[in-house]
Amino acid sequence: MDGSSALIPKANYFAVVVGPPGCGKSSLAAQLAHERLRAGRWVFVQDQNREFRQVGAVEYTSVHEAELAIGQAFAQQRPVSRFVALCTARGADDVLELAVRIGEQWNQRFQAVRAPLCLIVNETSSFEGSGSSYIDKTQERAINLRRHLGLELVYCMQRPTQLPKSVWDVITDAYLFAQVRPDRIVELEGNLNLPRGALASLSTAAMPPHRYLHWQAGRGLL
Amino acid sequence: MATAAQPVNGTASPAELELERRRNRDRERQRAYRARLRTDDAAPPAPLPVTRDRAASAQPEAAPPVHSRGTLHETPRLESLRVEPEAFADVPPAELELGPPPPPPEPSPAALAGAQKIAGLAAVLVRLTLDDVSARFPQVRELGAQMGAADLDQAKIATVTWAHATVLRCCAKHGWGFAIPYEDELVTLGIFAGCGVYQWARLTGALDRVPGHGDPAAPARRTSPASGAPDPVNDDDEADSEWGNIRLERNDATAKVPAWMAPAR
Repeated sequence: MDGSSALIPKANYFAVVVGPPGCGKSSLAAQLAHERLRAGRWVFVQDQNREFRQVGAVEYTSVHEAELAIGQAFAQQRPVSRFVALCTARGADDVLELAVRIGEQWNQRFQAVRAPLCLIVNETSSFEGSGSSYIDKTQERAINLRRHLGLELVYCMQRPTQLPKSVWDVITDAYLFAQVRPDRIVELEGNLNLPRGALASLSTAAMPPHRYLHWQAGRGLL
Repeated sequence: MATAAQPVNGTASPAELELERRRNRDRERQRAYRARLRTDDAAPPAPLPVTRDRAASAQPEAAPPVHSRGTLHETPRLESLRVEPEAFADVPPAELELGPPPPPPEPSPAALAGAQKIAGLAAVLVRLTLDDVSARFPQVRELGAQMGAADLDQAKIATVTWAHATVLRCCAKHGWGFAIPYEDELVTLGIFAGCGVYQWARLTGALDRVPGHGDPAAPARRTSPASGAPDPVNDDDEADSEWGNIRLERNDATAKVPAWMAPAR
């Protein structure tokens, strides 16, 4: 794959991965996770479909269980996996709360990020309190404070309308898979301030499966 | 580098050797983890990501044209990313700590109020057994008869069923189902007791005699104790008024515990 150099994380990295079911969002998310893990980061992933165990994640069925297990490993200085998958019913909200809470303890009150974290939301629609025109307070806090929390964000979604425009304005990277509807391509062009037609190649007729375009703030399509 | 485990005076047991081997491995992992973090920290800081506003004022030659069609990247197959579950396990750095998980959030005032109402009702219900119901509630026989109970035993069942069903309805109104976020032992006990009686009564058909319960497709009817035939008066809305305040209470999910249900002192 030739795009790996473009996947180097940044201090306030906030990525979205947009594509229909089965296009390869989870595979890309796993690849992003591995890159961060190899760089020593912690990765928390919402994994209601239990896809990430096979790529090395350790599954927990509740926030409490995850915090307890990690906390005990810290107290006893035992090895603990930095790849944490939460398979809970609340999914996205749970993993977001966990990542923010850990970011607050490890990074927020210090001058530098001591333990860089990455949060991967595998299905953004599973947030309870968010949509095309609203995000709840916990999400807003995570997005606004992500630099201080040492928290990188990766949101996977099927439709560009699953996040409000105000959130698209602070996105640093977008990984765009083929779109099944032309209006979604237009929506993406608007969200990314691209000229009309710039993402025409995202139509399913023009784009082979498991391929994506990478857009970066300030640099455009790479 | 970590030193290999050395037998002390040649007397180290296999268990001790294994322990030492694990310690060395953990130290090695921790060292590697710190090294990675140091490398990451030592790297020149990445330039601040350019926001779109800044991009507009940036030098034009610094960025490729935004209308570039871009390059197609390919995702790896998930299978190609398979690794062992503990592949990314490290000994945590000593300077990091993780506090205990926070206590569960306090219930909202509305939830608390609802819980208290249910707790009050449950407090009565958990004392309510089929054996002592008639002693505590003189109206049981009459109430049971109104619900179609043929004898006192059936009256007890019908009354207790109705009372427990009220708790269930309170739960449903508050959206709690059978999962109680407010961990009150009394509430839980009451709910479980209610569920048990409710389920039993539903299965045995006793619940069908309670107007408003049972199969919604088959409206509840009181039956004549003598003939077992449906009592036609039950089809008359006016007849329901004979339930009086009990009927009103029964329909009000947030009702206080009716006075007649107060436990005997």
